[in-house]
This record gives sequence, structure tokens and C-alpha cells, in this order.
Amino acid sequence: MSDPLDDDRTLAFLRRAVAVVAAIDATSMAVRTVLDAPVHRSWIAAAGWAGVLADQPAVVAAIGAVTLALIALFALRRGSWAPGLAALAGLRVQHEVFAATRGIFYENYYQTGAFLLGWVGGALVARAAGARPRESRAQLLWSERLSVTGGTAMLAATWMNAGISKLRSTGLSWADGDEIRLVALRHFAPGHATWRLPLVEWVVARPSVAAALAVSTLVFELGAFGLLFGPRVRAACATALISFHVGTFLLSGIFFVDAVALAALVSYPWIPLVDRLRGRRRDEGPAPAAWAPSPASLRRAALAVAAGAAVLGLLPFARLRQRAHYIDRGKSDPATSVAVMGPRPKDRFGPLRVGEGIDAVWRVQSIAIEGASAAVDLVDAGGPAITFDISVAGRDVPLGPFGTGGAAISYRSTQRPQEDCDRAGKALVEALRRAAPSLAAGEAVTGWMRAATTEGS
Amino acid sequence: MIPYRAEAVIAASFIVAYVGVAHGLGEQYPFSPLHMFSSGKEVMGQIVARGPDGLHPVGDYAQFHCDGPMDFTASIACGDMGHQSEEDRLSSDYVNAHLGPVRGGDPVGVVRRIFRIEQPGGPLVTTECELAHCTAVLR
Repeated sequence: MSDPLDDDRTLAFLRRAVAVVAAIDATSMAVRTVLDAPVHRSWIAAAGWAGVLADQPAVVAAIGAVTLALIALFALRRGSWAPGLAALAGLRVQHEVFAATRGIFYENYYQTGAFLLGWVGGALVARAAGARPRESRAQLLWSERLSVTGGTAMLAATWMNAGISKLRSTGLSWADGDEIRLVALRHFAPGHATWRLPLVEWVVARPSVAAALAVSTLVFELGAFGLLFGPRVRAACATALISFHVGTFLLSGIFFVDAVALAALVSYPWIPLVDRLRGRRRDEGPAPAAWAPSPASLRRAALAVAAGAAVLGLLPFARLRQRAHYIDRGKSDPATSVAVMGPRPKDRFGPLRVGEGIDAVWRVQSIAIEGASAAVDLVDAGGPAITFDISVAGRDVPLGPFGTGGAAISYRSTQRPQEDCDRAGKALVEALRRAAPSLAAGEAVTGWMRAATTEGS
Repeated sequence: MIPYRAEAVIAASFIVAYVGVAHGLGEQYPFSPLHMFSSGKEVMGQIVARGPDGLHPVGDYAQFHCDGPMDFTASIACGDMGHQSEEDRLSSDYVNAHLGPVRGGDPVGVVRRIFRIEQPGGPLVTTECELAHCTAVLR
């Protein structure tokens, strides 16, 4: 069985179809950024330059227009890798700006970027192997075929990453299906009953069905490399992945348009199907003579790629700082995850200064950095100090009785009466709020912690 | 035709590179660990508004009148139970962006619905915790 991906018309079609998907992404991100920025402003300041751009609709529109132009160039200029890379850079800027308004990076935009990167990577490997796409049609086909392989590999890797992340986070316990039940119920908007509700209720009430869905999710995601096999396996793998996404949509309303579109585009024989529907194959003239690089140059290129991948594959073991969603900042920030060590006295922490009052009653007696939190002793005229711990709230750090805006604030056991603790806590919260009025106190605490841990005591 | 072995090596290398960069560096478009819904949480939350006719997403309301700006991420009453950074933040943002005088609105309670599974495969329990009292107008 011949592979449709070896066909000139299929390769040309794929390039343009991928460009259409990328263009939809570019348009979608620009529109959503302009619409969301006025409403969701919490993260704009934390996002730095991306936040500054997100706040200016004309700039967002201009970036979108430039990206669309680059995507069009990619679609039209076969045999050229630079427009693809430039379009990818544009998409990245757009994604950064969009994320600044929402606090998270949107995972349903990644697949197109990954495919485009793989496409460009494949073209560069083809060049390294000796292909010169502008010199002959045969070399162009060889290069584009490798681009499709690169794009499909990166696309498959996105699903495999989703499966790997589940296993890394929870081991095999994710397969119990409980997360699927919770996600299904949480994403259902009350007061908006639709035809999907009976299915959601049916799955939520049946742990064994949810577990079966969870197991199939892991199998489909981790088995996504099947997209790289021959036409039949590829089509079967794509069908499984698409059915998984349809199921996700039915249960949660979340639909990964890019992922589904790209899987379908690379895996089904669209051009032969169209030909069959038309009842004939369009006459394209004689097929170009096959071209292949010398085995030695291909081997060298493949080995260079493998060596580079081996280095990149070790990155997870290098304990580098991972970039998290804005809303999760602080959890893995070195400034707030320093190893537990003895108290390190400081003379200030954010707006708090040792010896200065925070209101008419309470004064800061001492400050010490202890692990990932700041211990602040507050005193008044009434008795011994009350110690408050200030840190960034997270999954393992509850907000505490005075937590605010992502900052966890709690007091330590004390002989002082409860009302004194309440008064001191409220005074402390007010002092912090005055310094971080944007409600993003957690972000502020991250910055204060970083300053306190990097400066001398 | 690309030789099968060379194509397999190149494809596998691309996959390893993507997985390595994504899990090594985190969210760097187009690299991502894609860890959405991979937390294995046993508790999830959803912020909604309870009006006279039942529950609605906060986005169903066009205008809110509350006691000052809201910060649902810092609820003393509800604590960390069902806290979800994105949900809490986006809901706070939405309400704050639609604060203002309200004419002819209904009293609503902004509540966090907390979905909890006590033990693996066990029943799913839903509770509510009130975050704020407001007056609001449905769209």
C-alpha cells in the first residue's frame, strides 16, 4: 500500500491546511486577548512585557496581522523553512500576550506550534542531509516528506507528554477515573442544562466507566507515536485520539480543535478520497524522478539529530527552573522553595520594617526567613509578641486565617487571647494590602521573598 | 522515500527533544508538559452565583453590587478547600470588572461548589461554601 504522504499533492495540501489551522489560532488568540484584557487584569502586571502588550488592543491586532502574513508566506513558499520559523515566533509572542490576560498558558494552542516546529525541524534536517528543495521537485518532495515526519513526531509528543505528566504526577492512580468524574462535574455550568448533561451524570455516577475512560486515555495518549507508522496504523491511531477528544468534549465541553484537526489532516488520505469521489485522478503529468541523499550524509544528519535530542532529553534531570503558569508562580520559585534551614534574621520584608509600626497599636519586633516563609513578630503594649508566618499559598500551603490574594498568613500558637491575634492579623493584612493593592498579594510575597533571600541580612 | 531506519531515528529524536524540553523547562510555547487534569486531585471547586432561581455561572450576570472588590482566592470562610487558582482568579476578575450600581437586581450569594471524592472510586460529594453576598442583574 503506497503512503499518501509520499504524494506531491498531499504534501502541498498539508502545508496549506496546517497554515489554515495556524491562521485560526493566530486570529483566535488576538481576538481573545483584546476581549479578555479589560476583564481579566490580575496577571497583566505579573507578565512583564507580555502584559504591557496585552493591554494595548492596537498592538495585539498588529502582532496578529504580522503573524497571519508570516503564516501566509509559509503556506505559499514551498521549500522554504524560514517563513515557518518566523510564523512560529509570531505565534509564540501571541501566546505569551494571551496568557498574560488569563494567568495560564493555553494547552489547546500548543499542538499547532509543535507541528510547525517539527515541520521546520524536518526541513532543516533535510538540508543537513543534502536536499536542496529549490533545485528540483524531487528534492522538494523529499524535504517536505521529512517535514511531515518532524511535524507528526512533535504532534505525537504533545499527547505523549500529557500521558507522561499524568504518570509523573500520580503514577497509575490516575487510572481510577476520579479526576475524570470531578472534571466532568466541575465543567458543567449550572443553569445551562444541555443534551450532554445526562451523559455527564451517567459517567459521574459510575466509577467503573470513568476508570475505563481513564485507562483508555492513558493508552491513547502514550500510544500517540502510532501516528508515525504506516497509513493503516496512522489512521487507526488518529481515530482513537479523535474519539478521545470527542469524549472529552462530551464530558467537559473542552475541545482541542488543533489537535483533532492536525491528527485528521496527517492521518487520513484526503487527496485520494477526493479523487475517488470525483471518480478520477487529476492528471499531474509524469511523477518526478525519485531523489535520495547519500547514505553517509543522511546517517550523519540523523546522528546529529539523535545526539541533540539526547542532550535535550536530559533536561528534566538537570533540575532547571521550570516555567509555570502565572497562576502557579511561587510554588516552584527558588525564592519560595529554598531548602529548610535555620531562621535568617532580616531587617525588612516587603513593606514591613523591624522597629516600625504597622498601625497605631502593632509594631514589627523582628523578621526572619524560615524556609519558604517569613516569620514576623508583632508586638503591642499588651504582652509577648505574636508570630505570623507569611508565604505563598499553594496546594500544600493553606491560606490560613488571614490569607489574602494568594498570600498565606497564619499565626503560631501563643498565650495571647484570640482577639489579640485577630486584631494583629487584620492590621498585618491591611499593611500588606496597602503595599500590594492589586489583589495579587501572592505575587507580591514572591517578590518580597526573593528580595529577602537574595540580599544580605 | 525516506529510508525507514533514518526516518524512525529522526522521529524518535524529535519526540525525545519535545518531551525533554517540555519537562525540563516548563511552559515555553510550543513546548509544554501539558499537565492539564493530571494532578490526581480528589477535590475540585467551581465558583457560581446562587440567585432566587438557582445556580448560575457568574458570567450569566451583567452587573454586580458587592461590598468592594472581590478576591475569591483568599476566602477565610472557605479556606483552601476546592480552591482552584484559575477558576478563583477568573471569577474574581469577572465580578470586579462588572461591579457597579445595580437597579432592580436580585440578592445573590457567590458560592464555591466543592466536589469531593473521599476515597478512590467512592461517591462524589458536593458541598457549597459562600464567598460573598451581592446584588446582581441577570443578562
